Amino acid sequence: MRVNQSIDDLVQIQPAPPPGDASRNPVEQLLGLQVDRRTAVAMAGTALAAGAGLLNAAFNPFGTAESKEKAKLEWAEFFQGNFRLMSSDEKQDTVRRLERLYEMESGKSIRVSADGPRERVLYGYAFNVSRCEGYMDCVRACVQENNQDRSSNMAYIRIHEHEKGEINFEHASDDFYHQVPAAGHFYIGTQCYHCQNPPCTKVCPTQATWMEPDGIVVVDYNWCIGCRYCMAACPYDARRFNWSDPSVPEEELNPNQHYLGNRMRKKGVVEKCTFCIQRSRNGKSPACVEACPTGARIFGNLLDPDSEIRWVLANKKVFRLKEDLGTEPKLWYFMD
Amino acid sequence: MASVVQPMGLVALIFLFLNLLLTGCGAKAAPTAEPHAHGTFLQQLRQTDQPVPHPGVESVLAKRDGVAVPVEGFPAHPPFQTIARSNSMETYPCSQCHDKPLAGMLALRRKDQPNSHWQVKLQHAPDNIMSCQTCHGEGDMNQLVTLTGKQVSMDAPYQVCAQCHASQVNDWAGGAHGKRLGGWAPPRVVQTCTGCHNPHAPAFESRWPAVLGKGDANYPGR
Repeated sequence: MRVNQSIDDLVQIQPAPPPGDASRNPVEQLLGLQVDRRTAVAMAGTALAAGAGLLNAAFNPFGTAESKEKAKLEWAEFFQGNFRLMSSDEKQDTVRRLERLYEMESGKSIRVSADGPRERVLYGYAFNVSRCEGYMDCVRACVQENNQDRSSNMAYIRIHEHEKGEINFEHASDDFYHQVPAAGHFYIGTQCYHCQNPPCTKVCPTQATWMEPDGIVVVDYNWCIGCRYCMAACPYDARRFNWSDPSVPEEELNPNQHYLGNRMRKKGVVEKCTFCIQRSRNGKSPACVEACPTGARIFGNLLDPDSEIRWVLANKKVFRLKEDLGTEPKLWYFMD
Repeated sequence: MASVVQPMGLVALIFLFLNLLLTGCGAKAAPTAEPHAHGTFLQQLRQTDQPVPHPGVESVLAKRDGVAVPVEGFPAHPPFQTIARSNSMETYPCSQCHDKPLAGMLALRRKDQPNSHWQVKLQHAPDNIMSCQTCHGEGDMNQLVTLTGKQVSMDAPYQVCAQCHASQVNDWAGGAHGKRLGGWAPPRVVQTCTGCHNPHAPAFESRWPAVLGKGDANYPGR
């Protein structure tokens, strides 16, 4: 894409406002629609085709109790609304359903949270380029914490090895494997910057991705249709796509999950860094910050004038990548 | 292998498509930031500055992090804490052996036997700049000393380091150097200088990058 392309150019695709009462669940919305006869027939036909299999499993008198329960849960998940439109009760039902479905599949219990943002908190991040030694402990911690697909070596964070003398990502290597830090080189990590003016969320045709009030850009994996517009819109290559069914070895699965964070994804959906939403909303730092052995990563509340991140912004010479795009990333780089 | 529930397949996609076609997408447009409407994003941040209420959650130190003690001597910064050292040092208090001044201890030294601090190799600064006594002094070994001989607790090594590394310690007090422990929420606890840097050889070592699966037992999460 053209680097200087205006954000306005990218945000022309705006979904139509929802007809009817948006607070109703999608099934009710669907059923309450005023439609002409032709559409109604088409709709009924498709719904029948889609639901027949699930319904059959749910109400099959010969199925076991567990298979019936599973089918009912899957039926409910199938008609699940967008996370942002759910009441808190619906959110709780949704995460309990995910927990139960996982338990029935694997026999293990997980905890899926639907915790909302905290009042007067806006997360920000700083990265000390002088301190990064390329150890990659952050990458490993991120993959483990966020249950990223092992088979495709998915990683939200990339560490770029630059030769001293220039900052040019075209010339940098992000797949080095040798003793670090290498002589004559320095390291810069990139990941999702949780832009305050995010181009990725504006192009989503299903509004499956958005920025939360605490500044975290999240994805509702159940609403993502895998069109990957967001990946094209992101100027920083921060998003990842599941080309196959993601898998994590049972013993390595992190059972502390969040609906908008590290719960297991499906094939064909986009995922990304969430500042470890399951950790940060509980007062913890993201796994990358905690794992960094050199303290190159700094995380905190931008609205708190006494926070570390605000001290860095006020006292260090900071920069952001592609600042001219106006995306307002909430990750700043600086050097000692 | 833990894979997710995948009940829908192609049929689901068709239905979803139809659903979307009919209902729009159901979600209200999220309020979007207008970064340049009233100055830059940062200017907006500063304009709205006011002390924030307690976020309703606290940082909790893990056991391996150690015990927090208040940091003293930085009146320009909001109060913060660091990690005590004396309770995790293997041979503290030093007076268990150092029951007499250093000169007297040296007289006991036997050339045919290894030095009791054989593992310490000073790789910090050239020997015309510093020796053991620069930080440890010659009197009470339980304390560190400043260049003027003032005693400093083993729990406040930053006061000794700050004599030469003033800019690093200033960054540490502000939050640009060093490592926050427990989390971003208050109280602010940061690792102490000697928690990351071996004071006798402070440079970080060259090593292989982390690989998934190796050393997982050390992963600090969960």
